[in-house]
Amino acid sequence: MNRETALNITSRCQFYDSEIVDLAFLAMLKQILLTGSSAVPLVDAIAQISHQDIIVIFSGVLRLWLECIQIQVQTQLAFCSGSHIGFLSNTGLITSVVSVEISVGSNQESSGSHRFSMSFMQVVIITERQIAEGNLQVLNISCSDLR
Amino acid sequence: MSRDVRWSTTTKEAKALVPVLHFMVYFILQGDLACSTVLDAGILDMLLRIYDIFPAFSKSALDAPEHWSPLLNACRSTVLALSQSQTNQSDIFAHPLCAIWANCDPRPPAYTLEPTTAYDLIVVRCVAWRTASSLCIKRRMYVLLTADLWKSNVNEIEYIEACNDIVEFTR
Repeated sequence: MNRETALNITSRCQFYDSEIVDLAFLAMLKQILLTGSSAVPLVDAIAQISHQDIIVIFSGVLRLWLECIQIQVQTQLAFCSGSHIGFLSNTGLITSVVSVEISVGSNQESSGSHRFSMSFMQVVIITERQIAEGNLQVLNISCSDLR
Repeated sequence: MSRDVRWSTTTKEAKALVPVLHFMVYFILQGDLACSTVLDAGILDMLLRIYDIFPAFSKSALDAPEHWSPLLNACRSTVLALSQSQTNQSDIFAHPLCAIWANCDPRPPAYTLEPTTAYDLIVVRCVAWRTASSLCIKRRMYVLLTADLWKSNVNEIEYIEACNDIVEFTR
């Protein structure tokens, strides 16, 4: 596969319309959040499909999860818009969600046909202390070696 | 949710379906022509829609098994009656219902089939969903998303099928 964005991958519906596909990703994220590591049948079901489809599923679930974070961030920032800063928790603040490209694929495939990139959102987390010290920490989300 | 994908989980509506299906069985057993008429009317699609919402019946805290078991039995009787029509058998077994609702499906005799693995059954199920109507798929997806399938007291196979369906519907 050539370089494609996650959006292009997840919107490429082979058999079902986009509404069904979106709901399926939502249901999958719900099950992962509810059952976590005990979701053995779900893991088994995913393991039986092709490597390429597994990547599509992981990218779709991650994208959905990041969109949830983005909504939370925007809601929190809107809530705190009256003040100079908005804290999500006692330890940190998510100030922005931006789009970046992340390479996916093992080293052996780095030059092969399976190598491609996905656009993901990068979550920037700034702690209260880092603000005071002028030291910003960036949380990078790495999706390498999914196999 | 659009109006055409609503379902009900009430015992009253589950009970109302049972006599309708019993009437269908009686009519189907009149002969091949009657069976063809019922098939043309979309009885198999109707059963697939019942399958879609069946978890909502069987897992509702309000609905005890004595209420939804007759509905399952009525569905089985309907498929069994349909399958007795030799002239329509190929159409019936080609319908996605027969691959998707394993509990309801009087499959052809085992000696006529090649041995199948669990993986083969899943593949057949996936192919069946791809030929089902979009409305049936949408109803199944809504039930998977909203019904509490994961804390149910039903057997494991329903959970496995639900997981496989979710994965299939991402394609």
